[in-house]
Amino acid sequence: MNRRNYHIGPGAASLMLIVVALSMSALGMLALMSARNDEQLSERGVEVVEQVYTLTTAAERSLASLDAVLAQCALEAEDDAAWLSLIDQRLPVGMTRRDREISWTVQTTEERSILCAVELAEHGEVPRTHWVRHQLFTQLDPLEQEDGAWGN
Amino acid sequence: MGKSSRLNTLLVEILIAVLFFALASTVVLESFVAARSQSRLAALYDEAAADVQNVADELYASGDYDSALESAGFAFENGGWRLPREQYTLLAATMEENAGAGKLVTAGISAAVEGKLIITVPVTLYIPWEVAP
Repeated sequence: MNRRNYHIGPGAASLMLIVVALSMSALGMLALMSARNDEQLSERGVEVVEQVYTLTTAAERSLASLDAVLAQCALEAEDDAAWLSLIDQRLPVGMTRRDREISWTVQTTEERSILCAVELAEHGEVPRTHWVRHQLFTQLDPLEQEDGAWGN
Repeated sequence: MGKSSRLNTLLVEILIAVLFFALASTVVLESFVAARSQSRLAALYDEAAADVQNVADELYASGDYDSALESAGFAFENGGWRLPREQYTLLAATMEENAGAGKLVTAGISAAVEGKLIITVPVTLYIPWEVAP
């Protein structure tokens, strides 16, 4: 039976060093890339939260401006029909009325917008409106925007 | 090449290899430490964002910002609300403004780490005068 003697000669240590150093570098790079991506994702999450609450704040402000108009119209109108007619004349820019529903869109950035709609109460009732729609829209992909398709 | 000379060459090579390995591992270890620090920062951002959202939603739900902040554990100090957490501090400031037929109650809620703001969220609620407390 042939038996060969294996022994470590010159070059083996260098070879092992190269393999180990390369493996460690690859692992280190992967860990760093993964951590960097995690951080970017978290920063993006923070941005989204800020944008959504900023939009919600803008929606409340637009509701305030609408309610100021509604309150003034309610003072001047004697009945519901006259009230609605006055509202149509003085509705803030960007708002539209359909039956008893007034809707508008709030957009603070290109990426996100909120579709708002309130329902009008009867003339003289308080509060004059209540929310029926407060829907966040997110533009998913610039290509989808060209097609006019939106996701939420 | 004699046996003794080969052994010497091998020893010198192993010595160089060990030294180089130590140098390389120092560099790679630094990248691992940087990765760990970045991961912790990412986790901190996530936690702070969720915390700020929770407080904001509590304010929306209650309508009475000051009592909601107090019940959430905030303390009023130097003209603002403050709630220290383990890794960051939650800050809040409230204000009211006239808005024609009602008032706009606004709060700014932030999370800060060592004086640096990492997230700030506005919370605004419109309350008509007729239903204002």
